[in-house]
Amino acid sequence: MEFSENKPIYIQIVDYFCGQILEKKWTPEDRIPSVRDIAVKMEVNPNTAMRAFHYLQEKEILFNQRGVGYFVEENAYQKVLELRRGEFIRDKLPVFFKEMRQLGFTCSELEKLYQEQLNES
Amino acid sequence: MAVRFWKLNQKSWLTGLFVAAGLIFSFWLLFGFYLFDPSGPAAAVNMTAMIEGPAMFFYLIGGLALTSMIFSEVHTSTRAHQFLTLPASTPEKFAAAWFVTSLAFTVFTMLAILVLSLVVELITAVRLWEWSQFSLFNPFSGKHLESIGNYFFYHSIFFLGAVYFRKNNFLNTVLVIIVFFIGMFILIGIGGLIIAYFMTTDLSLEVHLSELGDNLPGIIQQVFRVVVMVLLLFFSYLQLKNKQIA
Amino acid sequence: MVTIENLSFAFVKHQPLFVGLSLKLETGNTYGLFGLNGAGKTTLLNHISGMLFPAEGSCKILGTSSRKRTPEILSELFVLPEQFDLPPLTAMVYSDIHAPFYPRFDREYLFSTLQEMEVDSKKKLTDLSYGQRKKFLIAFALASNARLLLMDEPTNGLDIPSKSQFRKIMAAADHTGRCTVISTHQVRDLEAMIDNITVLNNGKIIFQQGVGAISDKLSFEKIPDGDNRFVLYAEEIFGGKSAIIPKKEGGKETQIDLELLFNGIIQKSDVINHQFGEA
Repeated sequence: MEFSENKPIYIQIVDYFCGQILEKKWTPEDRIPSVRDIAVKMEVNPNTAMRAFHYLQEKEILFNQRGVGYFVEENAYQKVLELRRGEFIRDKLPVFFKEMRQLGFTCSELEKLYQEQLNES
Repeated sequence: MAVRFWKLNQKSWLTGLFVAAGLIFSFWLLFGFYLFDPSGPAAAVNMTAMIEGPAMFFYLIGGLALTSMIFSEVHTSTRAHQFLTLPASTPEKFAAAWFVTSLAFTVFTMLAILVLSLVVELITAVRLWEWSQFSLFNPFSGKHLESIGNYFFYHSIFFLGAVYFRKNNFLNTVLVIIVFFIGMFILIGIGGLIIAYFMTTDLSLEVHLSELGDNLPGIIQQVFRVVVMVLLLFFSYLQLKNKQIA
Repeated sequence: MVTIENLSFAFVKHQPLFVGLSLKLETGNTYGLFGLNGAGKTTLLNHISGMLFPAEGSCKILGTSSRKRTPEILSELFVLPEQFDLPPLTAMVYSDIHAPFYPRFDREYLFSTLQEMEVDSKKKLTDLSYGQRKKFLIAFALASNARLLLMDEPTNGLDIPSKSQFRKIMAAADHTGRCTVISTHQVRDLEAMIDNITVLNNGKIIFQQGVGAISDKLSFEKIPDGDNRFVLYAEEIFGGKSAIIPKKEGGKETQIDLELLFNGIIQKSDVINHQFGEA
């Protein structure tokens, strides 16, 4: 994975984990790769990778079984969804709305476009 | 630690040994083997005696050259870190270097000379079919023991040179020895002249001085040499202990 | 792990390189040591390893003065210089001779790492390329399990795949009992490996903070022209500025722009240090 945007690396790792859970590649009770594996894969300091695990543990998305590893929590999907929806509203929408206004789009115009794309795919 | 010195220098040291042995052997082949007629006086020539002179010479020069280079690693900025940060105490590194270049080197060289002497004697004996002359090299003979003693003394000088100088340690040490002796001669000369001048006696004093040197009891001379040796080694140790990267 | 107090040093009289330099390095961290050319990064590392002696002040590893070069300290220390020569031995023989000096040396790790990095352990070290030799020494350093690793420009001379291998190996290594110092210009190669930023300038350590504290206190943002927010330090870029801004409590964390931070520290160290509650 390439690091991008202006996000700290550990947040980018968090995003990757959340992505895996939203795509249902990781399901509850799944054991996920170790801190070391992630650090190696991402070529980052293990302490950085550790922060991502801690962050998700705090949000009750992952849980740690001492000596065994990290697992996906029962209602991780729900939690991730909430988290990401919050982020979407807070971070992405303001930018999006700003551009919408700049380009003179109305909400109904957008809804039409949205439906069109949905039908295509 | 001693093993490390050996492994690091194995190749060049063995090359040196074989070149020296080869030189002596071919020298012997030329003069000892071909030039003497088997039916003539060759039978009376002690072949070992022929090789031990040059062999002891190579022992001395080779040993001092090798000693001079023992700390070359420390003086090379791209290699010094390996020696300086090697987890062994300075006394241990020092002792290993001393041991390898003096004691181990001597034992090894004596064995090599012994083998060479055996080869030379065997060839001669087989050629003449005459076994009574068989006389092997004996490193414990008085003459050789004295040479070995001398080597240990010179060794301590070159050892200090090896730690002290950054490069061309052998030549630099030789140079210092020469300068030292010239200086001594001049000092003694001037001193002698001054004393002679003040005492307005003839220059016989100088003769007395040198006679005194010659007549010093052997034991005192030996003690003096050992003291100098210990001092030189102590200075070498301090030098190594305080060695910093270039 | 390392405590340097009031260190002063000069190669040439009246041209001091370090003036009363103090520095503390703790176990478990990977320090990035940064400084302009000639700031004395290598010289500082040489002081830590006891290969140079301070003119004044002290430099201690685990409480013992490093200039004493005791075997106990040296077996916990491994130095990877920028330029080095190795003896004409194979990796096998080299490690046979040197491994016994390190009580926790891990041979298996060494040879599996060499294999991973595609270093031929049957070839003489002198016949290897500069990059290969560097990889060998990096593997050896990690295999020694020494608790203090000093690496001077470790990625210099490594090709692109090797740099990535290096990062992977460093990431895989266990850092809990270890303190690593990486001195480098190659900010982009190594920024993800480092969890503490230390800057050496004008003979002193002018900045030292953990990556966590930095992203806690500072925000690195691209701000458009006309945005008149208060900036600690900024550089002109196309269409605006790349800026270091004090981070608001609870605000979003941004990725540390190490180059920008370094330039900011060199030019306005007091302003930036002020954010961390230090004069």
